[in-house]
Amino acid sequence: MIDGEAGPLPVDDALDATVIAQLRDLGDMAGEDLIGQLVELFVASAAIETADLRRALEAGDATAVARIAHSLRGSSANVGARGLAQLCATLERNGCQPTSGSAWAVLAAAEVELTRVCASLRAL
Amino acid sequence: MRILVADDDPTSRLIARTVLQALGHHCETVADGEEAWEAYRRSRPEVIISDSMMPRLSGLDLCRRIRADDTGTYIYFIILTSFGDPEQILTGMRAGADDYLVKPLATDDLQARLIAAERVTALHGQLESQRSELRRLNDELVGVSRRDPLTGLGNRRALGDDLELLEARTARYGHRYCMALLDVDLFKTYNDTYGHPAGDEVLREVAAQLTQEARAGDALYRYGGEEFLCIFAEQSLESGVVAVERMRAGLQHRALPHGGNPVGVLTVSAGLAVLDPERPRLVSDVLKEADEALYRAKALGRNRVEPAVATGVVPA
Repeated sequence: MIDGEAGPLPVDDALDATVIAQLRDLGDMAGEDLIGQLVELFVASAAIETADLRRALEAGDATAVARIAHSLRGSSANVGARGLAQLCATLERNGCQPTSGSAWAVLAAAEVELTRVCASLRAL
Repeated sequence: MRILVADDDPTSRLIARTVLQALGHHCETVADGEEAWEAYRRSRPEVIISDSMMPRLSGLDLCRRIRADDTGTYIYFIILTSFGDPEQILTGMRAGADDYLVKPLATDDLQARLIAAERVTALHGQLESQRSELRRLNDELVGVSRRDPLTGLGNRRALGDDLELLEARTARYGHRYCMALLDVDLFKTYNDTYGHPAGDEVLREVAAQLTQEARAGDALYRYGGEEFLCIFAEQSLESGVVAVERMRAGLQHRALPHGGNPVGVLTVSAGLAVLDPERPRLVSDVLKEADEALYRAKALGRNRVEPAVATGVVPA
């Protein structure tokens, strides 16, 4: 994807600290490395979903764009990636104009944001 | 509680499972509505927490399908929606959901919802067990009202209902029924000799003997004081006579002492008639024929079986 494309990134504002704290508490309560498992799941599925989004936009498949963006929005919110979730929400709403330049711009922004999120998650 | 979680997003499934297990619940997770439907049929969860938007079968359609599947056990259904989809909440509740949750899942919210779920499913369980108890009592009541309390055989009320059915079946489907009226010989003498309680006891013995000789499909009723009616489905007059003769002989063989009977033991006389599609008529007429045949059996010396003459069978 876009690994290594950008230099060192600020990781503090990519994730919602409250959500991370809740997940940490929950993991402690369950006696499991919940965050570790979540990061693994999220990084793997988000990489596939952004690639799928790109293909759906190229194909002009508005329904697929909305569906994939919805899914990525959900998992982003789960790990506290608020900014990414918002970008996904925009894509989900405007998925009906996949060929418009703005959809591509939003996707590009989402990809950059995803890199930041992944770096922050790995640093946890 | 046994909880089924349906969500196509693996991170949501992981969080839900972790929360539920930490709260002490048993949790199964599936990735779409069709899988949820199969898991629901297989493991009968008490609560389903389902994402509203899923591939193949959506959470809303899953909820509708479960509500239409009336198994008697109430399933508490919580619909999960993403933040910013308020219209999904209303659609979900209208589809039959009991409650909703907005993602990302918060432990406190989920815990609060499950307290309500536990309360509501307990109430539904109580309601269902009361309902089945009521059904059982009602069945028992119907059974009691159709049984003769002394002999346990069908009573006149049951007979009235059943005869109506037989008449209709003969007319419509061409079924045939052989009817036998059996009467205890010299029962009045028995009562006078041994007393009424002994008379009741001996009627019970006769009923037991008839029940023992009857085959599956035969129906037995206490017709009157010491009179019994036996209905043989799909039997001719001839084969009916054979069956009743077996009953008569069986009772004589039981050798219940009856001092006032010349034979020395309790005996019965019987008269038979047949209701068949070749000669459609009222059941009451068939019973009248059987009664006439019974009268003849008595006149010919009792302890014998006589078929009705009207059908062309001449007694030997």
